[in-house]
Amino acid sequence: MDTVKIALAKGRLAEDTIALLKKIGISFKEYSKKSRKLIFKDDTERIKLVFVKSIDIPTYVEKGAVDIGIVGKDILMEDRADVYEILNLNIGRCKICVAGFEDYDFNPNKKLIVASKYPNIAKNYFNKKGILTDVIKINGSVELAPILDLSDVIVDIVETGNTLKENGLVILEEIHDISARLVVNKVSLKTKNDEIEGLINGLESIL
Amino acid sequence: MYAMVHYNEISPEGVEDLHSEEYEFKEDIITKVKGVFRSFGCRQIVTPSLEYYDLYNGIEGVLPKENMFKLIDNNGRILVLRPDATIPVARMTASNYKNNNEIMKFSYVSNIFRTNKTRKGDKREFIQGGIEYFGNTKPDCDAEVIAIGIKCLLECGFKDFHIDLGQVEFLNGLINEASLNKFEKLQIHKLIENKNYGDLKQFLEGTNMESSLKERFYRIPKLYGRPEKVLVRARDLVINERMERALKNLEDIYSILRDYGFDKYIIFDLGFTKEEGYYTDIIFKGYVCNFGEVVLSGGRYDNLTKHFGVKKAACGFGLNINKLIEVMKMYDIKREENCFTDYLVLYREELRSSAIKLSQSLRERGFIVESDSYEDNIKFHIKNSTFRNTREIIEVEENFLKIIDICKNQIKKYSINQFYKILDCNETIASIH
Repeated sequence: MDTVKIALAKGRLAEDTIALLKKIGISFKEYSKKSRKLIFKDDTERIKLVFVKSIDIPTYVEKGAVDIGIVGKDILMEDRADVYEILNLNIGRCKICVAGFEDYDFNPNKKLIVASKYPNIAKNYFNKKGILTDVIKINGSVELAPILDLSDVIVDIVETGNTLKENGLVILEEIHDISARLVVNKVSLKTKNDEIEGLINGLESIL
Repeated sequence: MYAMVHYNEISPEGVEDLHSEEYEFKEDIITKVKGVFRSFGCRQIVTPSLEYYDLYNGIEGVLPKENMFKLIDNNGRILVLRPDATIPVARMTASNYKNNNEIMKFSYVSNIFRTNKTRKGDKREFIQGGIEYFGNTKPDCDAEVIAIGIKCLLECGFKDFHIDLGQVEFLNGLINEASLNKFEKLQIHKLIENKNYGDLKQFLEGTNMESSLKERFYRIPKLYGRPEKVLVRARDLVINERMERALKNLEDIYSILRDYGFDKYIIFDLGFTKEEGYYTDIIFKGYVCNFGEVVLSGGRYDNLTKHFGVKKAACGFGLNINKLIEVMKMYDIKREENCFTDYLVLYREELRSSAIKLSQSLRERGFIVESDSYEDNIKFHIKNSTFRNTREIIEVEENFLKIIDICKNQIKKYSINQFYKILDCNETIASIH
């Protein structure tokens, strides 16, 4: 039987996914949070986990370097990939929001400046609303952008809202609910159908 | 002396040089594929590399406008570098064979240009080979087109591959039953195409469709797998004649493919669809096992030539030759070494005339021959011969030839007549490249 390769990003989502897989009888004894290894085999050696950066997961799946990826909807929305987005795993839930100062007042006479890790999502959202924007791509600590006057507002994922609160920002608008998705390479679903379908059905039954 | 220009990047992203061995490999595949096309009666054509942008702009959903390379003509019109092969062939057929009702089968091997997403490793110039079959609406035509595709993959040496076959009319028939607006239709197509069960369920719950209809939509993305099984499951979903016809069409095509002996390569996928694009009935894609990308795609597009003023039924497919080469390398499919030289004829100045005569007569016998003058420095030529994959060196002497076999490291001496005699005896074997 062919091995099925699953791409994950290190972090909470990986922990949650591994817990889900354990529930359907797929366990990774070798795996531990602290390990620096990037590839793990399950105990039956039929499934291989690989750890890549979350933003790269759609690329790995689209190109068929891995068969399955577990990745947040935010990443899929930001960078559209040609993959099957088969399951909503309902883990890693959060929201993608527009955030800024509580007293922020939208000025229609001026182009809105938005800082975000998700320039495409931000641009599309404001385009749909008919608001002109300049989007600045920021790679981290996005909350700083309005504080340091780099931008008027930010677009970012919000889980508890604590980071925003501690930096004096609030959610202004909610754009989309985010949760982890199971994506599958379009070829693998057909060529490794038995293995992958078994996995999908297993996960679907416990969700 | 010219100053060398320094570029940080020597060649643009997504394009490549092809060196001798690679080039021969590519040509070899193209020859095989062309041979298959020809054996089915497809006549080869070529359309220009430049077309008007308007040609593509008028047709919805072919490929995003931003994916085309554009140039401006002297008269201000926008040109594109051929971003797709089917549309120009349809244009050509519609304009050159306006009044023909006959069957026409065309084949092409062309370079396609697309400004793909950067830094994703996608080619921006690639070779596509394919056929377009006009004027036949029968399932026999669809099956033949698919069979040609399968034959090409077999001819390239693949064994483990599938053709994913869908019928857009099946889903269209179902969508017709639901009162959805344009935006909702697009949405449902997208969700089904991406087999996004989770969001599809959510979307369906948000509409006021009857629950039996919802259930039907929800089951569509799961309708893939072995044809016999899919047909049984799909039949349960049929609620109108349009869906019935679509299913019957698939069944007919599949049974014709059985006569070709190609049914084992077929997988049905009724969730395989496209809201935009020119396909009107069957659509199909070819996949090779363990290779995550599509190598072949096609379908029936009966309405495309309407854009050019005539209606001609048509079905066709294209093979991505670059992807085929990638797969062949991945599977290490062996091929003959094509880049070699049979003889290197070396001569001293005074014996040039007879050496060149010898070279010419060897070439006439079908050998690949190089010649050069030398002054006793044979070492350089032996080293060079290894690099150039030369099989034998002939040193021309006054009354005899000294033959150095590079592989076996043997030296033999023959008179010219003896040499020819040996050649004539071995000719039937030796000249077959």
